[in-house]
Amino acid sequence: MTEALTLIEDESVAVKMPRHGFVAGHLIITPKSDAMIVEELEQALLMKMFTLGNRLAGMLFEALGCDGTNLFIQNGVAAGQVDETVILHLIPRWEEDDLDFSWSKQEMPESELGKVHKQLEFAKENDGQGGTAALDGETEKAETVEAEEEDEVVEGGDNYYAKQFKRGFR
Amino acid sequence: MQGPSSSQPGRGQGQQNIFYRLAQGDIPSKTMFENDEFRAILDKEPVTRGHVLILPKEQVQITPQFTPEMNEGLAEAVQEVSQLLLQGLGADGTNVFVANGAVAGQNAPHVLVHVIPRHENDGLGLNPQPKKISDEAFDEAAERLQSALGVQGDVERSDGSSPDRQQQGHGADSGEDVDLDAVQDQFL
Repeated sequence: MTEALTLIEDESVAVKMPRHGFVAGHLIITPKSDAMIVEELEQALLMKMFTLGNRLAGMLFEALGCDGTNLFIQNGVAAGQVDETVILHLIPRWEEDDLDFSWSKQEMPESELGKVHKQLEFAKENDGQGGTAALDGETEKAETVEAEEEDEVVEGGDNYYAKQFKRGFR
Repeated sequence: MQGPSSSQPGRGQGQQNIFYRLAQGDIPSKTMFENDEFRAILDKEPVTRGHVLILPKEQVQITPQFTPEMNEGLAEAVQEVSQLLLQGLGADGTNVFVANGAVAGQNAPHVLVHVIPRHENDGLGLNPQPKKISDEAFDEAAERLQSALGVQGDVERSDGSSPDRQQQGHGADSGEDVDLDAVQDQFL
């Protein structure tokens, strides 16, 4: 973690302002827990982080005179995570700031949406395992899942995925 | 559980709000998760395959308006949806993203919590880079935030008000109506 000023904290969370941020006034809300990804957090702790984030988001409008706020979580290295703990970013926004969170989106055909839906429903019904099996390995993601299954025994979804994430930090 | 929007008093706005109607189930969608406060649906215009929108069932425009029940429901929904995308789609990560206000990227009069599956090297531009904040900008933001939060920092307060919020009550001098007691006293 880069150098940061702690604004408020208690035994379970801290709100800090990092000296390297997306913009001045960028706050990070971080649990005092070794949870690396959101799925590992106790739900009550994540609720506390969201409560703080959403209330502080309201406070920023007046305190900093910003025009908007973003809440942002990078869950996993592939999602941009660089620290080994969960961080909820709270980012004040102004009309003329040079931050770019824009993305391009594309309408997805109903048939493809249906496939995604089927895949996720299958995963839900089978305790998270083998979502792609619902599509008989037809999707582009089938290879990824096979590769993961080869080198790791799946035992308890949370731990399995935590290991995958930790691997990314090495 | 909420009834249909047409039976809800004081929800005229909701009639025109497509995301509210989606959340209420008035418009069919591919629902991936649901609790009392939120419905999570597949975005028909996804950033990446499996992009999910978590929509509050109440007519709420920005997340500072969330009730404690909504924050609790959000925590559950985010965990469930993110886990489902990691496991069900083999995603390598997820981004959770909320925009409060148009300048932040909000384009609907309803809170949208995006959960976006990420894959290594997916080339998605959702990759802001932190930069060194100038000392001047940092100190100014720190002073304003410490003042708003009623916490004492190493930054001198220029208005001469008492830093002792126990006696004075923070924000009393500025007349702010933001409920910061809740932040400092209720949640920490």
